[in-house]
Amino acid sequence: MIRTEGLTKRFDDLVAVDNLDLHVEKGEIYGFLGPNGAGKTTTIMMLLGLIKPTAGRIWLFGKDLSEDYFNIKRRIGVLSEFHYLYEDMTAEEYLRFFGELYGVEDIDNRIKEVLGLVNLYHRRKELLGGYSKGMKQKFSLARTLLHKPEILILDEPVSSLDPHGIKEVRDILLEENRKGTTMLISSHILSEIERTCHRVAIIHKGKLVAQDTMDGLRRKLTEETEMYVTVEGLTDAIVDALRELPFIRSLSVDGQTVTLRMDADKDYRGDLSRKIVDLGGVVLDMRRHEMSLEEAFVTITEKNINLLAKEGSAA
Amino acid sequence: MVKRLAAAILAVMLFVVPTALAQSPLTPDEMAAWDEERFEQLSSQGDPVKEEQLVYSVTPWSGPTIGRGTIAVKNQDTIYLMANRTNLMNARITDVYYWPITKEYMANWNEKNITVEGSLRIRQGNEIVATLEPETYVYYYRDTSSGLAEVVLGEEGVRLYEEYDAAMNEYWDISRAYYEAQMEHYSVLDAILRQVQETNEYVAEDEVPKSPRQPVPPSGYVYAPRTAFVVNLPAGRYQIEMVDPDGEVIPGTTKNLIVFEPRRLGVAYEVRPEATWTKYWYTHDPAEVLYLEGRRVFYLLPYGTEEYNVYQYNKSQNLHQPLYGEGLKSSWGWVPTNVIELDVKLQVLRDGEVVQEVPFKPYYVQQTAGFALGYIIHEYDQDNPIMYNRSPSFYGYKLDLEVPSGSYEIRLVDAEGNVLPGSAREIRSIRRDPGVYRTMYLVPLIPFVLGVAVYIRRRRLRPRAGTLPAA
Amino acid sequence: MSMAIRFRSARIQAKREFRSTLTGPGIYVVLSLIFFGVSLGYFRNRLLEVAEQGVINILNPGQTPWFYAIGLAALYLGVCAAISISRERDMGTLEVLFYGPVDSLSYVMGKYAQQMMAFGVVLVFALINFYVVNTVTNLGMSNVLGLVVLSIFLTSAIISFGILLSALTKRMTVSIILFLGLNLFFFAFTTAHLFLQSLSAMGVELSPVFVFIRSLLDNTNFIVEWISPLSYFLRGSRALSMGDTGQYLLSLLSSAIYTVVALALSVGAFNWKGVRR
Repeated sequence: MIRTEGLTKRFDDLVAVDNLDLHVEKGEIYGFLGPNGAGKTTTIMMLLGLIKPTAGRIWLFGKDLSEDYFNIKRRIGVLSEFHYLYEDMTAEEYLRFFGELYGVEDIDNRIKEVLGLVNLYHRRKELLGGYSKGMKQKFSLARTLLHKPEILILDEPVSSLDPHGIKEVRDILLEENRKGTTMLISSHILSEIERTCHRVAIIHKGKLVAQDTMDGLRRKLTEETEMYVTVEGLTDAIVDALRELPFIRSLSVDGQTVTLRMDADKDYRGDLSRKIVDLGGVVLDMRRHEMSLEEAFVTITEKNINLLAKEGSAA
Repeated sequence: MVKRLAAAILAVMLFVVPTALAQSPLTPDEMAAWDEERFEQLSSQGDPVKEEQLVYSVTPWSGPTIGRGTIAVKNQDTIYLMANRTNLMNARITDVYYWPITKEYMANWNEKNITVEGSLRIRQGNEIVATLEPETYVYYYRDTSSGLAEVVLGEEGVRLYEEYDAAMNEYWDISRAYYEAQMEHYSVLDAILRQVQETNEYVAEDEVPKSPRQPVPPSGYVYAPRTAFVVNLPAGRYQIEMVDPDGEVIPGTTKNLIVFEPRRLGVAYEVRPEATWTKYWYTHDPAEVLYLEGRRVFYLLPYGTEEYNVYQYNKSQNLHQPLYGEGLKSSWGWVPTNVIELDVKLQVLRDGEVVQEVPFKPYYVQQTAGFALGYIIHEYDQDNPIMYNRSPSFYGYKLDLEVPSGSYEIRLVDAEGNVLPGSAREIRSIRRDPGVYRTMYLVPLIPFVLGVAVYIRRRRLRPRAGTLPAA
Repeated sequence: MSMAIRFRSARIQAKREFRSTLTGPGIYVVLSLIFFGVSLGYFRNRLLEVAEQGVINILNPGQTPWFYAIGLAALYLGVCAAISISRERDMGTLEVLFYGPVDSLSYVMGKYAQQMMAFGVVLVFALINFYVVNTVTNLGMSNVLGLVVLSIFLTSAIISFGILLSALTKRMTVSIILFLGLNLFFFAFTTAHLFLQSLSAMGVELSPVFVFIRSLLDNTNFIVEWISPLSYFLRGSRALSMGDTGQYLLSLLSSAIYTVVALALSVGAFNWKGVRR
């Protein structure tokens, strides 16, 4: 649905996007991550034709944007981080305008549907200037969905919502995805990416440093894992033996529970069980702490980025 | 942004100002030099430097006031003349000097005035349009009191001059006879007076002899015939040069000639309200509307006009004054061209129908003492004792109008019933009672009232604080 | 096909903005102020003048107040046009529009069409106002149709000029200052040019400094004539009062060309400046 090849944008001496190859499949939710200034927004603007690339090509629905500008644009819905609305219009007038612009059929019903989705139908006759920030964000989502886009490009879709609003929006997006809508989500709330996205791309200094499934990325980003083992008949010998194992980096004991920090390159649970049983212990519970993507992302250092970049190029 | 804007303005100025300066007659430096030269000349009180030059003396056609000439000196390479008119021109050798006080070139005709013999050749590129030989002409003033002249060419001019000369000779003879008769009349009157004094008896009025009637001089004037090249060309750009009898171009005689035509023909009116006789004004443009308040009497004194480019017109009339007309290339002005014939009538129309026809008549303004206006305007009647031995003060159309609503139109028609181009004017009477002013100030408020209504209605759509979501 | 889509897109945008103009108080207040000013400053003075003199003549009596009123209204719309793009860019709503089926050409066409539609409202109010005032005072007005058509083309030129400046600038205040500043300059230039041309008294005529300034303005005028939208109206109204149909049509044509060139440059400027803040 979305494909870029060698996409590059230079602003004088600054390379904002550098030789970017993206590929978003039909029906998937694609997360777009990167620190501020990484080039995410520039990339989105180039996808929408609002910034002209210095080099490279873009295909949306398998076509170059210039081939069929208006029809391609009609099939895309975009929700930006900031909610720029014509504040002198009522919600209904605004949606009617966009509906006409996108050629939406049965506009009255559609307005009712999308405003119903975001729970704003009862306020359709009010001027948008009087809406709160959260209402504006939900209303913007309604506008984005109005023309039933096949591709949704969302920039920080839940940034100004309360937890209830976040859940509401997330449910709507997942429902849209279930109906077949492809989504590209750029967000700094990584939990959202993690909960909604099938694949994630990480961009840094204009370069794509990683593009993978959530699990794959998580694996790439985590070098060690944490394991909690509860042992009946825990002895010092068992603790010492565990400490001697080559994949164990450190451990701590709390009652019958041993917390182990260990290499994440393999699944060592069998090795741990065998060693404990050999020394007379009984394993009551063994849990691995799953590191969230957010935890992983906040640990991204220059080193990690380099690591991901190296892996990316090796692949 | 501001820097870019400043750069753009600077670029425009760098282009515009030099362009304008390049086309300007004088740069500031030249002006300073000019003033300096003028100062030196004035302070030295010396004679200006004279230079012998071959010049064209030009008498351009200038309507009924023809006769005022100009000269094209050596450094002026273009002469301007009106199209399809009688313009007179001669090539002469004279002493030329620049007179800084009036900023004009002058020719010392009194000391040197040598006519350059030859023909005047007129070209358009390589094509010879005409080769002119000098023609005889006279200035003919049909009526000296008007000061309006015309140029009459060739034998007709000579004949007019001869007739005029003969008429003047006859007038002198009659005048002599009149003065003799007058003297005799006075002596008879003296004799009667003496008789009355001696006898103390009055003489009956019909026994007193009538005074002889003073002879009237010829109304016109004709100058003695002279010769010049008569340049009467259609509009266009030409080159002129003098050629000698061998067909060789005389050096220094080649110049450009721009012949220009009017943009519009029209009729101007001098408008003289009866109530303010001395405060009169003109209407030149047919787009001008005459406004009256209530019933008004006024006189219209028409004359023919043509609208010319002011630069070209000024150059044609004042070529010897280089500053004249500069900076007026995009300006147009009306030039009086001809008098209106006496048989032309003024029609007053209402909704396209002629409602009144006013004849062109002479009027006499009688100065009065004690009367409110200080004058009375009479229709001229030479038998009326007030106007005995007096000429009409003016000729014109008297209008006594009131336009209750809508408008009237006036126009001039000649004896054949043709409307004179540019003679039409609209006439209206204004209304200004308090109701008119009220309407005039209230109608503009309509949009405002509508705007307030829209604004209030729109404000109601603003969410109010504490609004509960509807079910 | 794409032009038809562009026209459709422009029409929808124009409709929205026109509605916005109609529902805002601005245009109504401005029109009332203009008409009131013309009644007070022109009509009243003319009536007093006639009353004082008894008989006077006025050149193009209908055209002059119409020109003031329409010129000012067109300037207001021009300011709106000059503000509109930079305001939308400033507010970010421009970006949102361009997420959808809107490109720079359809956007500029939409802006232009909207202002012209707003001018339709101006015309309706102006015709009502001038008809009533001219009828009650009997000052009259001729060539109404010619003036209306000319006004449409004048406004078209002013609006396209405003759009061009707006497309060139990113900030609203810069747009307004630039638009009003340039128009004020054009107006002052034309007034000074006409004033100096009207002076032909002998003493003034022969002053080299005066002649120099007058020549400078006269020679510069041929450039200003092609840049200043007001000059197009002056040319047209002159042709109208002269009854010169050829010149009148030529002035309409040149206004139309001016509009097309300014809008084309606007599209170029727009593409160059981009839609983002």
